[in-house]
Formats: sequence, C-alpha cells, structure tokens
Amino acid sequence: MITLVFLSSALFLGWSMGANDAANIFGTAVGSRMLKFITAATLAGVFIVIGSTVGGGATETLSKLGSVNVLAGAFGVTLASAITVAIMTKLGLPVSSSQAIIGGIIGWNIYVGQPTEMRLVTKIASTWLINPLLAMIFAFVLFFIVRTLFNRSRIHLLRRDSVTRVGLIVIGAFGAYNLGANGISSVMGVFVHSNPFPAINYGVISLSAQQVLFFVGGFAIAMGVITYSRKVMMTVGSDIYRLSPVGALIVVMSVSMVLFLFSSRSLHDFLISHNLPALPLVPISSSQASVGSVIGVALAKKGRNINLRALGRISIGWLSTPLTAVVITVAILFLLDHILGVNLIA
Amino acid sequence: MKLKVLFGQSKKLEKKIENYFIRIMDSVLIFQEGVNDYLDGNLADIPKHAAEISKIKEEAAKKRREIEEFLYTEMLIPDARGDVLELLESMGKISEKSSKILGNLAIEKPDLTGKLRHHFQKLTRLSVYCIDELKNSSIAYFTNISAVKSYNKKVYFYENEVDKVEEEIKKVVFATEKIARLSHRMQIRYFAEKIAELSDMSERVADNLSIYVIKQSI
Repeated sequence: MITLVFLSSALFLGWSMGANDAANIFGTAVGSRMLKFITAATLAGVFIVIGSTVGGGATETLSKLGSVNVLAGAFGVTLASAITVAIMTKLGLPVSSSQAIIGGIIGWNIYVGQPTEMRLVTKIASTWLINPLLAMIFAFVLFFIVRTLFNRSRIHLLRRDSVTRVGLIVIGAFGAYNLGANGISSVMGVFVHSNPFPAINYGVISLSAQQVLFFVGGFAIAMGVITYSRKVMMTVGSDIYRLSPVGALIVVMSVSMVLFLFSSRSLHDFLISHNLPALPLVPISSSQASVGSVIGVALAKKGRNINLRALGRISIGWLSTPLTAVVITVAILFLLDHILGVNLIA
Repeated sequence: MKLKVLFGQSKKLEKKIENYFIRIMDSVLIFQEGVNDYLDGNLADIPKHAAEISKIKEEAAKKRREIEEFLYTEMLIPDARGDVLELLESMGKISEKSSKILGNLAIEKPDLTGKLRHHFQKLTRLSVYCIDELKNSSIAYFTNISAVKSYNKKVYFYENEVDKVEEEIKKVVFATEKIARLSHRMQIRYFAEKIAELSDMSERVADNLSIYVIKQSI
C-alpha cells in the first residue's frame, strides 16, 4: 500500500505526460481528421507500453546525474516534477516533464548534499537545444524527400491520402514506441534504485524488476493518452503553423526519429562501436521536437506565417522548468524530512 | 484486410471521378453537335441532343452524390474534400448551362445565318476547347498536380479567344443592316453572351483549381 502511495506521484506524472505528449505524435493526424481519436489513442497506448517496458535507454544518464536510492526520495522528486508541470501548465508557460525531472534530481542532490556532475548537466542541457534543432533539420530534409517522391510518383490524390493515412499509423506507432522508451525514464527513472517490484516470469512473459516498474509507468502514460489527450490532439498543430496531412506525416516522422536517437541503446552502441558521434541517451521533450519539426516544415515552405514566439517560449522553458523543479523538490524533501519525519537516507 | 479494402475502394472512386469528368465532357460535345446542327438548319435532331445531355446530367448528378457520400463515410481526403465536391459541382453546372442554351436555341430559334453562322460555330468550338482543357486540368488535379498550371493557362487562352469572338459577333450584329429589328439584334447578342458564359464559368473553375493546388502543396 505504502509502495502505491510513493509511486502515485510517478503515476500522476506519467498520466499527465500521456495526456499532453501523445498529441505530439498523433495530434496533427487526429486534428486534421486523418485518424479517428480512438484509433490513435489505442495505437499510442499499446506502443507506449511496449516502448516503456522494452526501452528505457535514457534511464542510465539520469542515474548518473543523481542516484535517488530511497523510495520516499523518489516520490518527493517525481511529486515536485509533477507539481512543476502542473504549475507551469496552469500559468501557460512551456513545460517539459523531462526537464522537470532533471531539475528534481538536481534538487535531490542539493538536499542530500550529493555532488552534481556539472559536465553531465551541460551535456543534458545541450540536448534541449539539439532536440528541436535536430527535429527542425530532419523535418526540413524530409519535406523535400517526401515532396519529390510524391511528385515523381504522380500518385492519385486519393491514393496519396491512403498512403498518408497508413504512414501516419505506422510511423505514429513507431513514434509512440519511442515516446514510451524515452519518456519512461522521466516517469520511473528515479525509482530504479528503490524499485519496489520483483521480476516476473510466466513462461512466455518474462520481465525483469526494472521492466515491471517501467510497464507500470507505461500503463500510466497510456491511461493519460486514453482518458485526457483528445482535446490536446484536436487543438495541436495549428499553434505554430497549419499543416497539411502530408506535412503532419513529416512532423510525426521527424519527432519519432529524434525520440529514437535519444532513446535507442542499440543505435547508441552501434554508433559508438563504429567511431561515429552518438547523442547522449537522455529523456527529451517531445513537444519541443514537435515544435522544431513544424518549424522545419514551415521553413521548407518558405517560412511564411510562422509564429516565432513559440521558439522564444521554448527557451524560457529551458530555464524556468528545471529551476522551478529544483526549488519545489528541495521544499518537498524538507517537508518529508523535517515535518513528516520520513527517512530520506538509504 | 481493411487496408486492402481501403485501397481497392479508393481505386474504384478514382475511376468514378475520372468518369464523371469524361461524361461532363461528353455532354458538352453533344451541345456542340447540337449547336452545329442548329446552324446547319437540322432542327429535328436538337430535341434528341437535349435529351442526351439531360440523361448525362442526371447520371453525373447521381455519380456526384455517390462520390460525396463515399468521401464522407470513409473520411477520405479531409483536407481536400470540400474542394473536390465544389469542383465536381462546378463542372456539373457547366453541363447544365450548355443544356439550357441548346434548349433555348430550339425554342427561340434566333436567325444565325450568313456571317453569324461562322462566328457562332467558332464561338462554340472555342468554348468547348476551353471546357476540354478545364476537364484535363481537373483530372490533373487528382493525378498530376504539377500539370494543372499548364492546363489552366490553356483555359485562360481559350476564354480570351471566346471573348474576342463574342465581341466580334456583337459588332457584326449591331453594324449590319440585314437585321432590321433591335429585338432580334438583342436576341443574337443574348445567345453569344450565353455561349461565352461557358468559358467564363470555366475560367472561374480554373481560378479555384489554382487555389486548390496551392492548398494541396505539402
């Protein structure tokens, strides 16, 4: 019971991530009525759970940043992150759960007197810039590739519609998988060192303790998608630039690729083994990848009608989100430690 | 399985849309034949032509409703659905207009002999060319969007030529001594304007097509 209470903050964080971030994958498809919400939500839910359970490559970097080895501490960190997300959303400020959790871990380090590796912080912070930039470049390049393909193939408008629809489903599923694989480290990453779950083995289904933990987190994200993402999906896409269904497909491709680059352990190892530059495996904001991608498409279309304020808002989030999370984490840990008398030392 | 059905159904619909434009063009060609028959004095064949156009019109309207229903029930091309339906409707209106003109010719029987016969033949021929290019442009919108621009250019060219012939007819009608009554002069002018309206309508549809193309650019 107490485990469930401690995990509730992570489940809430996962739920809110699902409610908000699934729109970065399926929002444009649902908003432009290329896919029904129920189809998108089911696909997203299933593949997020699979991605969360099988993936989770970005967790290691979070562990290096700070080891939260007490269940109550992990609860405090995720609760602070969830509160940060809620406050920032309420204030209408851009927010990313991944940045909030990083702020939370730094807050934990400060509170327990653990040193924070500044090189790692810089590395993580650099991904906040790389993420939307990379997404923008991918979308820009993909735009010309897709346009050339469609123009050369002289595909019928109706068939193009069917191809786009199938593309949105297939790539959307890939994107949802990567959203789960990348995002789960923000939701459950801090619980890895205080994981309350045992490994399970039911013959065909065999999951390690960490996979069980991530499965639970993935389920919370999926619930967020199914119960609360419809409204966000219906409104997403038109904030920065109005997209056509093919434009939406390009954005989904680009976001999925960026999420994949930042969460695939096998790709990371492959690049390293071939002496190629690899990106750090860290949880990133799919919203920022989505904004970068939409701007990439808009730039490829000569950049008219772009709402550039969205870019300025992202950079505000780079500072305000982790800082707020640090402050709230320290406050919550103080409350748990000194007022409620919860033990925060392993 | 659902995907196979979806692709199969959309293939059927592609054929249906193309057939729709071809049938509209058929009705316009019958209209041309009817006008030529009238100018040659074969008035007996005109009701037959009008009936043929009428039949095609009904068939096209039925086809258009089927296309509309399919697009909505299968949630196809949500971003272009409205444009496609507007295009089909506009093409249908051109056919309807040509049928009306032919019907009125048979009822009012204006005197289009002598020099006017040649002018009206030319006016009708150019208007039909204009509509034919519009049909090509409309089909290209679905199959080869980059070709729409060049077909539209031809639509504009023929529309311009039609305007010139229309003006020429007016000049002839109001300059000649052979037509004694003003009402007859005005009647001939009315038919010249009505036939020229077909190309004006085509020009408007071509303008809309250019906008649909911009909207479809990915």
